[in-house]
Amino acid sequence: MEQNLILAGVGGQGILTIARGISTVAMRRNLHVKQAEVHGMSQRGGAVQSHLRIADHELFSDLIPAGRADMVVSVEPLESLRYVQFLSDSGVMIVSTNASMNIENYPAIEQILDRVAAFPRHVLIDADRLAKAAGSVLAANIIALGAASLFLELDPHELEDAVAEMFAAKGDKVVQVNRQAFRLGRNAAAAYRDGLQRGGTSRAVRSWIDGLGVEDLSGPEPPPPPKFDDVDLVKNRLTGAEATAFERTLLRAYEEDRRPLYEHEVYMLVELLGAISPPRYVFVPKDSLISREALDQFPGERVVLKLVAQDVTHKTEADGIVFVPKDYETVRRELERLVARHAHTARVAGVLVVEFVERTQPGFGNELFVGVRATREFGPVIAAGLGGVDTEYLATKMKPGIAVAKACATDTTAEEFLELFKNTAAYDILAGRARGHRRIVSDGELLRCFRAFISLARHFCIDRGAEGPDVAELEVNPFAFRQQRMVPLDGRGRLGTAAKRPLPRPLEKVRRLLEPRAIAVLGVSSTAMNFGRIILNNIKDCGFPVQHLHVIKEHEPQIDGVACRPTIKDLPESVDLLVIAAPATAVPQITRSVVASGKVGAAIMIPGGLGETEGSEEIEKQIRLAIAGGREQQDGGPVFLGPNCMGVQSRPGRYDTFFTPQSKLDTRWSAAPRRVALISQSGAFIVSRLSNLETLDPALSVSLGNQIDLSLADLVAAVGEREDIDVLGVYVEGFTNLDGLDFVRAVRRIAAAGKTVVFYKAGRTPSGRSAAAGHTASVAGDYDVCLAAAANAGALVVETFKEFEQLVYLATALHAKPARGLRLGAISNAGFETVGMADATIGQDYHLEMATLSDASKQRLVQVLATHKLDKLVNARNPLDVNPMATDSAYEDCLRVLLESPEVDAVVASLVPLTPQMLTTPDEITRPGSLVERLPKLFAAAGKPVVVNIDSGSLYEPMARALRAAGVPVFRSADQAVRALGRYLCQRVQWQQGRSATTDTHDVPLPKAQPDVVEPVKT
Amino acid sequence: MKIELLLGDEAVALAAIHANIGGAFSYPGTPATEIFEFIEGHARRTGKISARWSANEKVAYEEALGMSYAGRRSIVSMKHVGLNVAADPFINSALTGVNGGLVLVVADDPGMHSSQNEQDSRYYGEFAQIPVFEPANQQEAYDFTREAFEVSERFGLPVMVRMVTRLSHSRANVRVLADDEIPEGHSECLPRPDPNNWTLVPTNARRRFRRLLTMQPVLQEWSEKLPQNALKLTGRRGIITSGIAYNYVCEALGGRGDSSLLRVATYPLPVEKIRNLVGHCEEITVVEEGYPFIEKRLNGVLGVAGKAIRGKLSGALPLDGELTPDAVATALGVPFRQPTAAIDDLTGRPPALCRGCPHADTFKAIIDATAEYPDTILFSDIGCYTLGVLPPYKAVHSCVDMGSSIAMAHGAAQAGAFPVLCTIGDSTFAHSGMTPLIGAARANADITVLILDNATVAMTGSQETMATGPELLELLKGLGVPAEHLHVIEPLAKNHEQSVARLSQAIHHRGLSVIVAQRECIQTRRKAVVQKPAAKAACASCEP
Repeated sequence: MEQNLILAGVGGQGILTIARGISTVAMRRNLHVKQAEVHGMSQRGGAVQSHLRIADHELFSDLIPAGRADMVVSVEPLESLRYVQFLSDSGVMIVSTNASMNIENYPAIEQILDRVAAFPRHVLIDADRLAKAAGSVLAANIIALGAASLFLELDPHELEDAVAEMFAAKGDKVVQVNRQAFRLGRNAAAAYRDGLQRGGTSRAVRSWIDGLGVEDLSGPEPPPPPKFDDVDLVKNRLTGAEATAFERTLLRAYEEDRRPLYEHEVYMLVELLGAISPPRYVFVPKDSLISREALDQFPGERVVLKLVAQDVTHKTEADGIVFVPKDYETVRRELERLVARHAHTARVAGVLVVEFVERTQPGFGNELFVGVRATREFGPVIAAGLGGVDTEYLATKMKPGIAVAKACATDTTAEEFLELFKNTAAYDILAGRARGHRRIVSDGELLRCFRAFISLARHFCIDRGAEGPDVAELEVNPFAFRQQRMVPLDGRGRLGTAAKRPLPRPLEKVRRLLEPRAIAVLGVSSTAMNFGRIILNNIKDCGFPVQHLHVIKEHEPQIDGVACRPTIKDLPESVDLLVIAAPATAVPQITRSVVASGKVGAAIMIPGGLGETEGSEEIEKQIRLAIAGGREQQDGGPVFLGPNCMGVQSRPGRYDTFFTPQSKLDTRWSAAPRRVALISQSGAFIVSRLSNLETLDPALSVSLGNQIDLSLADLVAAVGEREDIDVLGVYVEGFTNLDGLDFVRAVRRIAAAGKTVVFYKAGRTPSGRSAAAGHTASVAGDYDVCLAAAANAGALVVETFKEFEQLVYLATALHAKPARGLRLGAISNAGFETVGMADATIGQDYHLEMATLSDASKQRLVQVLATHKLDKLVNARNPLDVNPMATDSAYEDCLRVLLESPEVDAVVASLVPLTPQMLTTPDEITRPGSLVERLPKLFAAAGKPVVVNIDSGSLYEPMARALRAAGVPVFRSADQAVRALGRYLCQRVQWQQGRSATTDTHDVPLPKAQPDVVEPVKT
Repeated sequence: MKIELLLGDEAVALAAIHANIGGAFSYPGTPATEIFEFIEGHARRTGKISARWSANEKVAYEEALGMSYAGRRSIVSMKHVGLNVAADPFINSALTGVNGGLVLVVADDPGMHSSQNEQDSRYYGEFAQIPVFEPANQQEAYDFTREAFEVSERFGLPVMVRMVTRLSHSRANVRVLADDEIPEGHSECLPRPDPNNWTLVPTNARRRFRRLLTMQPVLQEWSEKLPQNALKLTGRRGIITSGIAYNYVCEALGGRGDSSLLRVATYPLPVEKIRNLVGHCEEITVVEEGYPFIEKRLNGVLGVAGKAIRGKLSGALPLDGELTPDAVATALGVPFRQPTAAIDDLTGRPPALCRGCPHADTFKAIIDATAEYPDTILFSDIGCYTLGVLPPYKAVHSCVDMGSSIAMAHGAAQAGAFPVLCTIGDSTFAHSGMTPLIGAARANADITVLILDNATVAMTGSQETMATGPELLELLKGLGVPAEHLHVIEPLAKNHEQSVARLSQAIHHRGLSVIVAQRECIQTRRKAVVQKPAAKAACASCEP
């Protein structure tokens, strides 16, 4: 018996420990051992190897002769290939897939593994993963030993015991980790061998083993391999080897204290993602030279030299790119000149020699950029659009969504993103839809690329804690195309620190905050009408039961009929809500006692000056600490709304902490609540909207303030799930970390439930831009991403406060009316309005069509017109211009025809009230037969969306107001009415279609649509 | 007897222990370091042997010689180039002779795994005219070393054991004495001979040299009769081999063939046996590790008439680099079959400074401080910091021998070069940097000396250093470095600007400046972090 092993790796990987384990057992078996080691200089991160020979006869040479090794056991894949000449005919390569990337130009890892896998007898194992699973990444060498044990003519139990002895001095825990590592390594190797036997490819088998856990691999036998029929098993996923290579590339930059990634590192990373083939490239470090052989391997007649320096981002502008003929002397000279040109102004790392790519169809629009980046509010995002140097220009000059498609990577599949991308101009050109273009890339190729980038973003553009550096941004711009394949021509990446998600808030407490059973108020003055006292009285006035209302105040028995308690601890009952109206400086202490008391579910912090102003950061810090302390309690501790907020108006909860005097804003507390909620970071935004929309009467209004604890997404989620809410109006300036993502998710759920979210995002200033930032940050800034993500999730994103009001009001009023289609019916008594309404049917983000009336409808219309003697003046068509001669009843009858026409899905009823024929002035509208009397009835009975428009001055405001009070949505400009209705309808119809699409298969009947013909309205 | 798995170096060390040495002496140097370290470990456990690193190889040799004069056995070990440093006492000790057995173990580094040349120490043995053992394997390393002590005392001469990297750093089963089999004796001092023997004033020296010359035929006879110098005469093709090369010959022949074989284990060469073999054979292949020492002597000036002598000189084997079983098998005409060709397009993986190494920060500071001077010369020395020659630093312009950097800088400054810098580690400085610095200080040489004080001998595996920290600063002042031109920097990224400023200041000063870059080696730091808790616990338990 004789077994010869080459043990290989990189200095520090512990290959001598492997040798020692085997030698120990061999010695005990009275075998001869020869074990040549490498000491000294080569251990400093260099290649190391050991020759190990065991035999039952005398051994002479300490070195194994070439062709006589039974095994090459390598803890590093590239290193295994250095020793193949030692391998015998029946030799086995036992190789860990984890690359040690402390060198330049480390080849694509799967290419190396392919070379290993080409050996008929080989084993590839992800030793790092298994070692981690065993308890320590340091045990990767023992994983390799375990794997080798499968082919050693030694008893594995003795080997395992020898491992245990080697680590005995380091304590029992280390011993157990290494025993486990030995078993995992052995079983993983056996599983790999069996998998190959079963016909799996190396990738497929590794992918299967990647999915196995400690429990699968620590038994006495390896798990049986599956059938490797399912090719999807390995598609579109990084292998363990690739994930490690990726990780180590990032780590290398990080440890060099470098944030930007070099172009070739980006190539390597995207290459690992699969589906993307970079051009041939060689990185030539500064002061090194490319070899003739390496240059000869480049295809074509020319090569591109690109400067690699972390402070040069725009190479073209910086004169950092040279195209040269593929001639050794020329390349060498140009290399030196390129470096010399920049050596004094930039930190030059070297030069990238890249293949010159002959492209299909060069020219405008034929370049694509794809990038991912970590955003603070929305987590990882992906963006794709027209690439090249014009990327930013195009993005600013083109409509959002047309230049660049962008989405939250965590919540978007590649297929969904491709659908978004299909809306862009880039797709039109790449897919050959634009004139003069032919398709240069397939959807499948795009899909593979998007999938890769999305996967990258999900795994690396997030807060990874101690796992490794976070990727702030990584993009390829541009991709060129050759033979329908995507070829990156430039790439850039940057490490950064991704936003950390705060601890989740216990949402049950938010639900109770909206309808508290008991309330306490802190900060009520007994002598003056301060905010606390106004709030106390407001709550009382709302009808909140006084027996469950408390004031926290020392030395006072009661204030305004409400009993006082000296401290929170003294409350006779737990309260769902504590309103804190104390001065800012007192808030940290109050927060601590709130958390300590265990008696408070939620608290509203009214005061400002807690973090948002200069000098108050310390107070904020203390409050955050106190709140975090509460999170450690079993129930998550109390939740806090605010500070710097107005709190909550809750009609179902019968309380109001807004401190706007009744004289300034009529809260109409007695009016029935409508199924709408306003959620806003700014309290003033809410009261301004309420003042404008005086009959909105929302069931809930919540002002968030600084979101020190409860975030916008928390409130949107809690309010959105309420059965008494159909519409949410949301205003936000900024999100807390990753709350934008949570918000978008909440919106998606709410929209999927058939509710409407109207969303205004303040802060349009470009963010995330800096000289160092890539294109992705410029064209997919936080604001852009926010709007795109919210719109993708189904929110109605508005750009003006007016539109916000209109859509909130409209959605609230129309929610009960089924929206079946986009065919608009329009009526007016003024010609310009009918024309204007027709003009407004197509807008940037909606698309209506004017309904074509059926003959039956026309006939009815003709009859009605005749009845009102208008048939000579009015054409029976849509849009219907009923002429200024039309009376209230004529108008009503005509409108009814439109409402009852099955070919009309929604109606805008517009009128110019200055006609003498109609009752429209403040005196007239109270008379019987006025439209103010007629329209509400028609509206109530209508089975389809209807809006009314009254285009005129303040004299007619009472008319509009009266109609609004009756629940009719009223606009003051016809085009705005059409636009608002158009946006609303598009969103509703889309939801309806989505619903029918999903319900088709489930056989759940839709809620019965209203009959096509409305009940005739009695007059 | 018992069997242990030992490195060649460890086998030597264990033999010395079993020979009851009184002390071991050395300066770290690959591939010899482990010899001393093994004895040091034993000494720590038993307290019976004196084992402390010496400041350099010359000192180590002299300490060993002193112990020998005093009557105890001693071993001194070093790498091949270390013997250049110790050559003075070594050559002279052959004249003085020894009292207690003195064994010099020299580990050559053919292939230059960790050295600046591949000189062959057998020449030194011949030069000093003392006996040399050349073991082929770990067992012989043990056996020969024990025998070397006997031989040393028998002839009153120092004896060399010549090792090579591959043997030093390879493990094998070795039959060694069990604890109860170790012969007693040699633990008392032998009586001292006439001290005139040791005092090499000309009259004594002439007498002692004649004594050495008269010893030569005795040594020749000893070597001739030694059974380990084994001659087997069969076929007409002959092989002469020595040391580790013998293993490759055996591996290649695998017991086959009928070549006649002489295996050389000791020097002076067993010339009669060589003559017998040459007389018997028509073609002689000489296989030896290192220089063609035997082959040259065989060839002489004219060669052997009618015989073909093959070896390194004939081109049958490469003149440089380490022997491999494949090269030997090919030379013997029985090449191994190699089913897979070596892959030659693999990216190399050179050694590099460790992550977090203080030297890296020092080199960064040097690069920035000298950016304005394209003619900067930076002399460096032997140690980890020699890796500063590699990218990304490429800052080092020389590495010649231990302690050379300061003197070379001084020389270059005298040629008018500016700026001239040199880097030297704390241990190399103690080894042989102090003497040139005294000269540079006296001359106020216009050089900037950077002493990279990482508080350890890092390259060879973190051995104890002689002078570090505040002690080193005092030492520098004592050597004559003016206090105002003696600066300390802490090489850390956060101190970069400050370090660059200090360096610039030193360069601008047209005279001697010494900058001590003080930061502990990242490797020892890591080990200390791991080991400290245990050490603390031990201390606590020591306390009454």
